[in-house]
Amino acid sequence: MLVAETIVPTQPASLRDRIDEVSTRLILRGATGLASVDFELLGQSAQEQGNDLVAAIARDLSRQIAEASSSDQTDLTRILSGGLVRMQALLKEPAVAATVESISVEPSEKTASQIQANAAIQSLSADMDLIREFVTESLEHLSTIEGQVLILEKNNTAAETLNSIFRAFHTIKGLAGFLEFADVQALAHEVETLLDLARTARLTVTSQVVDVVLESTDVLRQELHGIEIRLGGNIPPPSRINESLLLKIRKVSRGEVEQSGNTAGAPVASSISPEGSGKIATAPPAERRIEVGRSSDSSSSVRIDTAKLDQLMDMVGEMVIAQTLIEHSPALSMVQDVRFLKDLTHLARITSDVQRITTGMRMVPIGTQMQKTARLVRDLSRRAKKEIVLETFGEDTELDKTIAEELADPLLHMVRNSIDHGIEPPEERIALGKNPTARIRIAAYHQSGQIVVEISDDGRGLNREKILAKAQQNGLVQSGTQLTDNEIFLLIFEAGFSTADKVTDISGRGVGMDVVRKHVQKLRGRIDIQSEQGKGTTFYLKLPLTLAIIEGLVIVVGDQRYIVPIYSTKEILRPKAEMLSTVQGRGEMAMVHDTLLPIVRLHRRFEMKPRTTSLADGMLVVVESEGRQFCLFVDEVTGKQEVVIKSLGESFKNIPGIAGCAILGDGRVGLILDMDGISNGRS
Amino acid sequence: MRKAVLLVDDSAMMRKVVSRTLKMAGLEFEQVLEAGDGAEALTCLRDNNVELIMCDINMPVMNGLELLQRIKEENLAVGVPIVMVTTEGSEPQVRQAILAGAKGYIRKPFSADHIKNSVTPLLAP
Repeated sequence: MLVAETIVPTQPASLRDRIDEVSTRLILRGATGLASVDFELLGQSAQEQGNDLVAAIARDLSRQIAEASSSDQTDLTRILSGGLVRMQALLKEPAVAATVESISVEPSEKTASQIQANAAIQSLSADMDLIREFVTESLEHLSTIEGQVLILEKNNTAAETLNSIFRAFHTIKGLAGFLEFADVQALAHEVETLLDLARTARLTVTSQVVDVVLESTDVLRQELHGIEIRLGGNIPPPSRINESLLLKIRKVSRGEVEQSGNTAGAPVASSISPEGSGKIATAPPAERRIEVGRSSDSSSSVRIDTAKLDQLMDMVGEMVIAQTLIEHSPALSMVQDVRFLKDLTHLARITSDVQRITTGMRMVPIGTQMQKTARLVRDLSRRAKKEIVLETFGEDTELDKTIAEELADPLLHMVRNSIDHGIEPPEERIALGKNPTARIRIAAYHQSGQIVVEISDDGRGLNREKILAKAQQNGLVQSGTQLTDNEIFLLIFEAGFSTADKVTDISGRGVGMDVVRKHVQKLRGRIDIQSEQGKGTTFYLKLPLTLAIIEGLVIVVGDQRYIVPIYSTKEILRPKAEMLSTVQGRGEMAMVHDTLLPIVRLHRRFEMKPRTTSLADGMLVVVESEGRQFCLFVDEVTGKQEVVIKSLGESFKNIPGIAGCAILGDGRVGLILDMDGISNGRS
Repeated sequence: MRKAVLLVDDSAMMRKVVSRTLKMAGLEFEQVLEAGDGAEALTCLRDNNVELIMCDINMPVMNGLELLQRIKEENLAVGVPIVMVTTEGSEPQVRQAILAGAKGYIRKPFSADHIKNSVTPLLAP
């Protein structure tokens, strides 16, 4: 039964073409790409052809554009695309539903189904929300795929693993078909075909198969990001989906099929190890993720825009503060009513529950970030010709979504660094009496209100003397300075620092570790290092559980109070006269533990009248920013407090030295200081 | 307005797409029930009466063909048209599905017109 034959253009092509042209512009550029006059013209030509219905719709749409405010573009896009589809449908009528036998199998001719598909699909492919959802869901599928492929590499006959990878590509292909992303559809189709051969045992999963699947995953991910960029109204980088990639996949599937008669298609597990390349041991919890996209998202979860979550978080912060204000209100001491006081306690409990749950809503398991490193270890260990096993622990440890995302880069950099610098080549390891297969271990856990991520390797360890010598040579450290091991090791995070004798394509350019520190500091975290020469190195990343609340030191200057984040303070001291000096060209300095630190007078920085201008009468807070220490001169330090960070709004958000504000216990506002800004502002 | 439809697919978004396309083809249901695999679909069918089942074939836990088998065995959804929705659809697979009790078979991506032609006639007017 060929339904396509029932579609006969009943109108001159020009009107249909014009409607199609307008639809295309809507899809490409959104509602902003169209003006009211476009539909006016459509209406006119429909009228001329005597198609009153189409003309009416066009005029209606023209009016909608004229009346729409610039804020509701998404709604307008939806209305316009709906209207255009109606017009297209009207022009296609009469598409009489042909009589169908009890079983109807659709024609497989591409042309027939495509012609037909056009009208309805157009409205799907013009729906920005749907496309956005497609991107999100497909990206999730891709990370599932990556994890599964690495499991597959270990056990190339794992049927359910193969099947779940197949299904993920299958779904991406299907959805791409509906939304008319032909390139995505084509690539997913090729990989799907390849995997189909594998799961029906017509193809052995070799390392080539794994490579090509991973490569396709990368290309698809880039393509999806491209779609996202296009949605944002920008031009994405050119697509990497091309005929040669498709051919390559086809070759892999065909080549292996031909060889399956003989023994050439050696299975992965045995083909990798002899080359001395990477093997990945992912901990069992990954199995859990096979089921991604199933029941959990069908009924028990809802996707929420993170902006909404942030807003909720913000409002909950306000609520907690309001609650504190009531609790500390002097009026409360007059209240005798026991019942009222009891209700108040109840309210306080509910408030803290709400706060806890809201914070929890932003939490995601760290496992996804660990999976990314698994992929990196696999690729890099092959390139560096080192045998490495990656062990991960605590994938279920939850942390704030933003922190988790920001953590991805530092984690990758550090693992990369371990592979390149830390781990010796197998021959060297054997000579040292070590196991030729090196071990990288990533563990995540909660410790006293913080998340700790440990990255350790059993490589050569950091060379204390070499680092110190290099640092002195670069002028990062004056000779004779006493430093602890940790302090010396932390020097590797300085910009431009690299002890690698030669630069490889993996690392050693002195970038990377510097980036790691920046990222971690941005997240208000810190890094510690333990290392033993010849035995290995462990990095400890310590991060806060949430970015919404910080622990701060409340300081007073004049009649103002400020908050200095605890993570950037080192020490508080009352200066003695003999500590203070003035150094030509560098201003006032304080000698703290044999180190000369510059003093920043906060009252000068913010042009205020302090209680005292004499250094000996105030306090010095030693702070650190971007690895440099300096002293803040303040009137007084009044205590430590947890505060909810609030933004200062659009107009004040870029004041150097101020990170935001917080409402203090008594309801007054305190400004939160940003040490990087203050450090850069001092001259 | 028709009563209820059951959409079985392991991709939540695909279920949404199918539901939207049904609507575009003029098939509106008061209730759209969703299941992520065959097993969920079975549970759903034991508790609900539906007028139409749109079902993917390749799904985890229990695939579409197994689901058809089980529906038959348990005597569920008697007289309710089951339409298989799939990207594949080789001749033997189509036959297998039909022998197992499917009443329709459509390929992704499909349009509202495909639904009008292949699904609407299966339903009571």
